[in-house]
Amino acid sequence: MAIDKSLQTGSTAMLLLQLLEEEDMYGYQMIETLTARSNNVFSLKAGTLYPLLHQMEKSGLVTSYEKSAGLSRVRKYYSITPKGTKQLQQKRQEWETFSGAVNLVLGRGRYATW
Amino acid sequence: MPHGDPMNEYLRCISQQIRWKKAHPTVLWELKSHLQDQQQAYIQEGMDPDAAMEQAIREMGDPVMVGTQLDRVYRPRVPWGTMVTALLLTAAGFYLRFSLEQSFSPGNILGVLFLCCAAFLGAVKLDVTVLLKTQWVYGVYLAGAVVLRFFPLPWNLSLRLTPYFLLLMAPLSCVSLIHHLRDRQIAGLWLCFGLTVIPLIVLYSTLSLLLLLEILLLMLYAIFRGGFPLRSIRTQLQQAAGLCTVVLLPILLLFLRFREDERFDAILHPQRYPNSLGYLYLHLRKFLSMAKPLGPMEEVEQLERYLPFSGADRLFTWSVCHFGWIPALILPLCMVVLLTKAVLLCRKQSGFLTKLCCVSILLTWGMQLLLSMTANLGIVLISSIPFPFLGSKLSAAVNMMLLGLLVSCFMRQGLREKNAAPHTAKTRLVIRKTQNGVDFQIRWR
Repeated sequence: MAIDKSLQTGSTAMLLLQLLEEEDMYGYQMIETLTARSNNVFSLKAGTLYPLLHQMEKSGLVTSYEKSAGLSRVRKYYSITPKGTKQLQQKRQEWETFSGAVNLVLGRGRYATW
Repeated sequence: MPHGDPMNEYLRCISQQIRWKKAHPTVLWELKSHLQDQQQAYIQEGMDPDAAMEQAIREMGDPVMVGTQLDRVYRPRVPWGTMVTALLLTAAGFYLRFSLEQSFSPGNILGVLFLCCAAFLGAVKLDVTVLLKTQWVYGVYLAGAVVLRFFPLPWNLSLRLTPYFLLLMAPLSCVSLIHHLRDRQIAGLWLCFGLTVIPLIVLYSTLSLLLLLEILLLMLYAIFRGGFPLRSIRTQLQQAAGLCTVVLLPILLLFLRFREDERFDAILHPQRYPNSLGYLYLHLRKFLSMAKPLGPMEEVEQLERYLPFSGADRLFTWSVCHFGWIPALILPLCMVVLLTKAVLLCRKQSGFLTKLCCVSILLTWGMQLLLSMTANLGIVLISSIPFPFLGSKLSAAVNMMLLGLLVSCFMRQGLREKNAAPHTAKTRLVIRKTQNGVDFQIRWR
């Protein structure tokens, strides 16, 4: 089911931090993982991902390094920093409060869980 | 970038939106890698290479929009606060020197200004990561030490250049050596320390001892921040203790050897030795205790008799006596603000090499401030060196160059380093010949 993009906009950084908390990833891998884990609901465009990742790197939430991938390829991997982990925890709490409140209003009376 | 190829055309269009040209390689390399990954995935799904690339480009989105977003991220940020503080410090220093020193003419000011601007702008232009990755840094350090020590230059240049040469080159060489030798673990650590210390011994001066302590602090920082891949905290502590012993033990031995010496007695009882530095500092402290919070003290003429003005070396003492404590304290206050700003810039660095470079600059300034202030207040019996940024032409130029390197590190933050080596694996394959044949081992490094 297609969802309204504005619902996703605010939470993309949180989703990326969540992926990077589990393992270091490169850009393409993040898009693929996000698509697979959300049952094709979140199909993040590369044109949106990279500016966001670079901004997060500048803010110190993630850090990057280069790693060989085959004979002639080098990929840029991203890993989460302690500041990023802290931000993720904070965003998670915000999300739980927000989604719980939305569910309450919609009459489901249940908090979303991760 | 060749035209015609859809991928290159697309990337060119993105790069046209990013105004900061130095960011182009960082951004385009990663986007190109992504397009190739996406193309490969489509080819595996059965598409032909050209169609796969076109689809990958469509997936990435509008190049103008992508480029505009990246342009917002990559704007060269200049640490104006740090630069303005350094400028204020230099301006205050010029004013004080111009007021106190008869021979400090406007021509002198212009000369210092020109040299400082050239040193600063030259350093800002330098890509510090490329510079420190070359082995030339250590080569210049060693060759310079040998030339200055064994080949006397005309006009007493060897003696005049030595402190500034050491001040600039010793910490940077140490950073460069740490980068080159870090993979050798413990052996690399000691090799790095030894190689940095050799020119300090060759060009021994009062400053060498302080630079030795600075090198020690820099090495300790590298050890505990993972500069050398030492396996456990215990190994790190052992190596740190070893380094501290090597530096502090000779100082202790010297102390024990000279404790019966007359020079040592002069330190303890300076009033008995009228020609000693300690005796001079006794008077210096007396003058400082008589200084007013604001305005010149009454015994200024006596000060000039005891402590003739010697350029920037005694600038703080003279400022206290001539203008009072409050105006004079502007100098160390500005320097503390500058150091705080430098610490903040250092914390923002993500690359280890640039972080280490910033720490070395921070330590160099901190060491100069400490040495200059303790000597100006007559606390420690060492001959003073110029206050950072306020010294002679060369001293000010060296500090401006260090400021330029700090700004360069900050501005290039987040950019892909030229000729960046890929992340090395943490294991290595060791092949050994044994009696039974060949033995393969995978070792952690």
